[in-house]
Amino acid sequence: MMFSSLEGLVFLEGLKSCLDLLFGEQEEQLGQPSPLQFISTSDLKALFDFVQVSLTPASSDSWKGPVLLVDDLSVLLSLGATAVAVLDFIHYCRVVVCSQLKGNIVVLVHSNEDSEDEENELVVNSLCHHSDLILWVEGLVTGFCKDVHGQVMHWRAWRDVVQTYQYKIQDKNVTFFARGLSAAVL
Amino acid sequence: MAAAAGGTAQGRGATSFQRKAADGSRLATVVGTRPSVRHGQLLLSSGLPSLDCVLGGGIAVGTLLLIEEDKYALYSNLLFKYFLAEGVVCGHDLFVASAKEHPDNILKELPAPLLDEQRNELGEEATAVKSEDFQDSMKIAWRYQNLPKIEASPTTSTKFGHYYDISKTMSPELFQSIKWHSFYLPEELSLQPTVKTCNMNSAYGRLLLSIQRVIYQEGFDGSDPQKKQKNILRIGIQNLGSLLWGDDICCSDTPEDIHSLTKFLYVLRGLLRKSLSACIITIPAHLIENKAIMERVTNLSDTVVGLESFIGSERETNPLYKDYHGLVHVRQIPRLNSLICDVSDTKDLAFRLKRKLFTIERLHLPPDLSDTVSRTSKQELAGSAKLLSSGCGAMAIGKKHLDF
Amino acid sequence: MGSDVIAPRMRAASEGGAKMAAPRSGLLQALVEGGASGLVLVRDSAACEGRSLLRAFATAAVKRSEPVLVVLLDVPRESFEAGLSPDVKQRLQYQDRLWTPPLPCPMDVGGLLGALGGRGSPGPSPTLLLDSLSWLLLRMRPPHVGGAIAGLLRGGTEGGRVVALLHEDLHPPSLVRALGAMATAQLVLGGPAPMATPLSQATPPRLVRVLTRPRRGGGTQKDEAFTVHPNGTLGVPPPLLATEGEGGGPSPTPPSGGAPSPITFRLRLSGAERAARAAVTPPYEHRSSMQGVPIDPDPPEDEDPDEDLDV
Repeated sequence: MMFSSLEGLVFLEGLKSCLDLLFGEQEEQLGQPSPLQFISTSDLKALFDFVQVSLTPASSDSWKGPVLLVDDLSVLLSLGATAVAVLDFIHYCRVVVCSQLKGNIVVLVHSNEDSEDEENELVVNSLCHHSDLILWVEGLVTGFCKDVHGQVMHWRAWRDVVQTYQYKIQDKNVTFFARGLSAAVL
Repeated sequence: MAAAAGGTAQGRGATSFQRKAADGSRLATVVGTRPSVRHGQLLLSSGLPSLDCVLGGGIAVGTLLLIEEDKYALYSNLLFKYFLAEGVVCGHDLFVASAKEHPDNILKELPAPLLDEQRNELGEEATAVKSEDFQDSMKIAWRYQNLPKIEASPTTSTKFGHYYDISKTMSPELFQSIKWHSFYLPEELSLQPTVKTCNMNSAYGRLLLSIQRVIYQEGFDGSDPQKKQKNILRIGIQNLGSLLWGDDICCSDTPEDIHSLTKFLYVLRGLLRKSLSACIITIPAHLIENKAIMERVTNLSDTVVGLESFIGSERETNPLYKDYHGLVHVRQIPRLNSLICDVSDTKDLAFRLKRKLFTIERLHLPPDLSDTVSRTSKQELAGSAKLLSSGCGAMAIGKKHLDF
Repeated sequence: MGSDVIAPRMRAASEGGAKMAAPRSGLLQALVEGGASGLVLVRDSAACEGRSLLRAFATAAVKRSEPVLVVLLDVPRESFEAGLSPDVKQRLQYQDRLWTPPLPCPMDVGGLLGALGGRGSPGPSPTLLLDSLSWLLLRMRPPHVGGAIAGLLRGGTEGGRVVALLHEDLHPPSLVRALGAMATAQLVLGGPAPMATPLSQATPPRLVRVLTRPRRGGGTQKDEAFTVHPNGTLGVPPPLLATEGEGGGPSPTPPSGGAPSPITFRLRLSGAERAARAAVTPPYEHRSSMQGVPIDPDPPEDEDPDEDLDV
């Protein structure tokens, strides 16, 4: 398998794994299909099986609350999966990771205000409806600014309260502050 | 010394201070590259020093530069040739792929690099190219930093970034020391009629196989530890996505297979990341009606630059743009090993082509010097100023109220 | 999809696009508390969610001792139950085959619909809550889904209702209209409701447009404010502002009421403040001490002041 595992952190690197799938000599290793075989078959089941196997603890492990991080879901659409297949994949992951293993899922999706990618917008809107928490990151409507790179809106499932923070990115760090209170203004 | 620290150095009179044979220090000696101050990645020159400035120093090794072609592909082809010519001058290997022109012909038409005696002539023009946002720009003597420091024998040039004269072609002696590979689709199709391609357009599949083979056999992916002198592979793919590549995304709003191009780009980026290479692709974005495809293509590329030429548009005769030949839109710059990238403050860039100099600079409106200034021309200026201010990248152009 | 455009997610759709007028309470409450029959369509969007209204229907039905079946397709049971009181939770019946491992693979949508038909609860006036109808529409052809809904309505006993959640930002407007034609009532969720006095409660009231189409014909449209309390009961807040202040109508931005803002100033004016500002006479209109000296404003310049720059 083309993943690295290190003290509780399991990485599936799509860019590397796809090379083994396309250019590797062995078609299947140990009878297990590659998690990225949906590039050929448009079927995300192998990817889900990989998630399930990786996160289900062996009897000796004492991990609690696994977290599945997906970076990023929009790429799956570019690689041939349909929007409904992507939503089903998240559904299956949710059953295993959230309901069974009491863990969390964090998914990154791309979107534009005036995007014409209807499949991607369908995935994004659907995920908004199903999510317990949404972090919505966008640039400022007033344009590019050196001191405030954008804002993050933080919505809970009930949409009652939206908190908005602005941010500025540095090399290895991001600073958040309330709207209008960036260091350049104060 | 009984207590020598560092077991690996036993037998050498070890001290605890050992210089690590870092890969970084070896890689830094790859010809024609330099490390970025921002994120430590190796950078290559695109062949166009002003484009290097706009991109934050150059093209990082292992990344993909996508050029959205201008309407007649005039300037995008020039950028393509500059990239390859820079490879020749630096001694890098080349891989040229095209479905339209034979790569041999493309290479025959590369522009000639400017040599030392022509440098001074160029000096006055080069000083006009400002680069405020260039990371390691000289603070006091900035006017001199863009002067090309070309050695008398260009093949052993160690400087970063060169200038070319497009009215002359490169002399064949420069090619003698470099190795180049070509992929000309009509020839490939006739050689091997069928090939397994993993549910992708067969032309793209063949191209991927061909690139992978070169990377592996020539050892660009580090698989050959015997190879002492590391080198860069510069890959150039021309006019990708056009009809000649067997793809219909340029002629139909609902193409048969919208995934082939995006799968190709994904796998290509995987290959680039795993090897000492960089790739330039020109794509006729103005022909692709299905905007969703261009959105996905942009997300799957590292650096994306769009060219818009004024030829044939009303801007050609507009006095506001008389100093320039077209606009440059930087759509995307990658963030490598860092949360932030060297994005220029200037969002409005234009380019101008002269025989020996292709400059990309901030778009200036010309000063209002005419005697008969009328209100209408003022409104035109105001209109263009509004256009300029809304040329910002990733923002929601909707509400105009202040955001706090 | 042709030329149909999926409704942008950040704007809550409103029928006809008219701004919501001063709302009155009552119609929503009547529907929730037993007045609904047939298909009730709850239309929400990513910015204005409608699941809380489904919880209100469930709570009210349980209080009336009526059977309730909740079909969960979008979210698992824990997510739906967050926001219901414990005694209501235990009285609900669930059909959540798709959230109970082991899952069928691939998703057996046809089988699910068949199972639904057979499980129509006997008993007075059953309520079937479907969360969500959009899930079915993304995986089955609309005519099949429509037929299945009609079958559910026929199969239930008299007075029963199907309350279906529809995410209208996921479907073309034509499909939403077609489903609306099948419904006896539609509840279109909007943004925060403008309040006479600013409230700082945890659940600020929101707007809903209630469209009814009774069997006898005709139809009504009313905008109302509502809130769903944390225990799932429906609340109808006091009457709203008479004037259309800012924020009237479905808000184009996500709801931002409730938590006090950390900044110390605000740019928005209330209606009263705006009126007060308009009532102040500007200083240049005051009679100054220089009475009798007619001060005429300069005639408008038609020369360009920059013309005299001679370069």
